[in-house]
Amino acid sequence: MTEQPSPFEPPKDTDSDVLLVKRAVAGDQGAYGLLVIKYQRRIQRLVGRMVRDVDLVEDIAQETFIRAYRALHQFRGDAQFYTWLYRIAINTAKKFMGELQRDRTVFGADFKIDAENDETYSARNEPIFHETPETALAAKEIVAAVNAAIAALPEDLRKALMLREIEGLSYEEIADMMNCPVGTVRSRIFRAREAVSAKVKPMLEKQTSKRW
Amino acid sequence: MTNNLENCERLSALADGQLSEDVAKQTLDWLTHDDDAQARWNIYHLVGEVMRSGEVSCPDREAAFMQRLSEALVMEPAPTCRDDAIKIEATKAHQESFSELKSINNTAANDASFGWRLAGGFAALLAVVVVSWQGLSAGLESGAGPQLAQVIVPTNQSLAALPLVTTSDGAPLMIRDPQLDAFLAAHKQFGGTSAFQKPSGFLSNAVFEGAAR
Repeated sequence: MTEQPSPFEPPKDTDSDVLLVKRAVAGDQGAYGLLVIKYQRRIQRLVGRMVRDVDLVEDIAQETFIRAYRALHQFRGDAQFYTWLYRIAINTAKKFMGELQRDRTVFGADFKIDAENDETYSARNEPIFHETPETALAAKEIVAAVNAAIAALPEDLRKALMLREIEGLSYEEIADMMNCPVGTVRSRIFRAREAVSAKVKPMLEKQTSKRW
Repeated sequence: MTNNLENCERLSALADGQLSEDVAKQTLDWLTHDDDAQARWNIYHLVGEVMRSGEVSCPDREAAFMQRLSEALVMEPAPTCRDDAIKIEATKAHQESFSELKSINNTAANDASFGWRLAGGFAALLAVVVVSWQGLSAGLESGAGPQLAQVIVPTNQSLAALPLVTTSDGAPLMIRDPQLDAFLAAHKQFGGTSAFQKPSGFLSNAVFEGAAR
């Protein structure tokens, strides 16, 4: 008797990023939009380690995604999509910096090129330029809401979600650690996300529902 | 509703890359055409980002960023036509860089300050005029003095006309001046070359060499 593969088993040769890339290359721009939604925060955080000006961070992030889109047909899936995107972001940031270095008054000490090789560097405690008190407060409120919602989760849901999001473990590994089936892990993580989303969603209502 | 929950659970698994390819494709079909699914996709990743980094951008800023990016991407050709697009882009980039190069060549660092350029040109012209005037006036003054080419070189004929003092056997006689001899003997250090380390016609001729005299 051959064992039927579970629909939640991790794919062998592909992942959701590769599928989205294939769709985008085939002309589905919405698929690329989903990749942008997934990675734009990580890319902005990466660029934010090098640039202190949030407007400039957004410009560099935007240019990164545009460049990635132009070169999307060259992505073969040999590496993780984020790894590929990471290199584009770093190169784009360096290009921006090279152009801005001509004007020290704009550029000045905002750029920290060593941040690329300094994973311990964090801009969190440094002043962020062009961030208004309102936007900073809104961001803090979301972080607080997420943290409060996670803290309020039942232990098994919280643990499953943290093992996934923070430790980066697969469902199978989490199932081994929590001594439960993979389907249960999947369900716990989903329920945890839904509980947190219920708290956060009203705060994100301002965003346009349709982006792409 | 049940179907929606099932899809949402699959969406959660898709966000983690934990779906098989077939199910992932089905879920993506739903995701790319459902606004609510996209909103969930966004929140799921936002939650993960907050858990990992403890920070997030303001929703308004994120929305504005996504709006700008989507508008910019609409202008881009589809990745399927990238080969042609890349050629066009390369040609355009070449033309742009060429025109940029031309504009660089046509502009000088002081293009912006026309007054300074005018002053520099006037100063250069003035310098040329002053140097030319000095050269011209020096030429006029030197024209008043004797020129080397104008010095009359004594010819053999004129030399023959000079009276020559000779001895009885016909040999030329050197006229001796005892006072000059005494003077030269006392000041031998001035003989030969001059104090200026240059040959002096007068002193070299008046040198005192006792043995040869």
